[in-house]
Amino acid sequence: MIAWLIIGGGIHGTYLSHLLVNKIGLNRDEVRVLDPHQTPLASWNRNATNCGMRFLRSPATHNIDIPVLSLYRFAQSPAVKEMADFIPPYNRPSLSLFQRHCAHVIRHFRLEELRITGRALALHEHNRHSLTAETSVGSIAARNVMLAIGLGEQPYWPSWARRLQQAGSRIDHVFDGRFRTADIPESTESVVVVGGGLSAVQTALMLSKRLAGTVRLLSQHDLYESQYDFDPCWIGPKCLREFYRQDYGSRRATVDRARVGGSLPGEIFEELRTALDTTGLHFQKSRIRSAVPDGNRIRLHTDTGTVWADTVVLATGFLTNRPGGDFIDQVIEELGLQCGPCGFPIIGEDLRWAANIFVTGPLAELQLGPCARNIIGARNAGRHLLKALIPQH
Amino acid sequence: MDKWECPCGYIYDPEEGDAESNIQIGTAFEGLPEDWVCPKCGAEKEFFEKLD
Repeated sequence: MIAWLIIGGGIHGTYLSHLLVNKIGLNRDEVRVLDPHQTPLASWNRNATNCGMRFLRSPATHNIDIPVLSLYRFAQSPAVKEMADFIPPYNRPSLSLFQRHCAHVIRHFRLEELRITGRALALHEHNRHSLTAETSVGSIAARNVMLAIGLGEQPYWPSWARRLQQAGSRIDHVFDGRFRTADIPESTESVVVVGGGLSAVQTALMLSKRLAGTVRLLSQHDLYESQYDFDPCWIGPKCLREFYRQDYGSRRATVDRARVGGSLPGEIFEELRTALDTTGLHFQKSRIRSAVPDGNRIRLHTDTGTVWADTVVLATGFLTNRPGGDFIDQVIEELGLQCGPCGFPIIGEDLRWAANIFVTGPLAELQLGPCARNIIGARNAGRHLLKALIPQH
Repeated sequence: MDKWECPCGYIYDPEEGDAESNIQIGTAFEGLPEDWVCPKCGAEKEFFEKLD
């Protein structure tokens, strides 16, 4: 039996496995990360590349190593110094630097050896002191389980888009694991990108540079400039103090309000403005009412008129429902775990959902707040976990 | 004088001070009042790291 089984090998699962072994000092054999992908951070890396991200939205202190300044120090190393790139004022690293730093941390601390490639199917309480995870690669017994499941497997498909897909039209989601934006032929005459957030704008900018035809970005709302997609007050106690005074229904509403989309960091806002003036990129503020196949094309009925496209790319983010699907449903039902009115776990400050079940990532939003799913959410979860496991810390 | 960075990304720069908290330009991080917190996220001084 191992001490810790972390279910989910994205940013959160990888960071917390690192923390358990290299900060808390657990034996490497005592910690395992179960993840359906072949490599660590697979979904995060694919999504970031697929939407054309060039710089992270978060500062360099938001990284997967234990020392908060690790990424800065890595950027000074001779091997990467030449390509190390940050955007001021909050020193946001380039995607390539961030990814190289992640790869460095994973390699240096041999975090890949902690991984088991497989999918969690069910969780049973073996006795008061241990759990058994049924997985696609057999049973794993553990004294503690950390649920680190992200939103990566639930890209949001509006109902009109789902119907188009079922009709065989060329429509994909930028966060769908099987889709590569690079596979859209350069000769495509018209692409419509649907979405009103940073990912949609980055996708549209990338496609407008690569494709010969027109790219139209359809957003339900105006876009505006803002450094963060949530107020940084949520990272520390400034806003969380009041959050903890709220009931769980109100906490959900607060999280949803705090993560309003449509904001773009300055350099992307500027790049969009330039591209609208100088390339075949168009911006249209409209809501799609319905969509139908029209020969080889797609006809989109919007509240500001009809739009035709050869290909539609959704950049509509993720379903914000509780992640984890049938697996989490089973865990809740079998172990009788508590959830808020929105269906998300009610957990303690120590991230415990039950005596030996812990939660991080979006599943922990009712405790960690609006930044739970971000990289800083993983670091904050680590801080809570440290406090729980080493009280004097 | 050294710059210090908060986990939220805010950087305390003595050359700028912190007008919001009436911290004058030229105040070293070590000279900040003990109850000073990050103006962005509210983190206390102990969470800050000195930038190289």
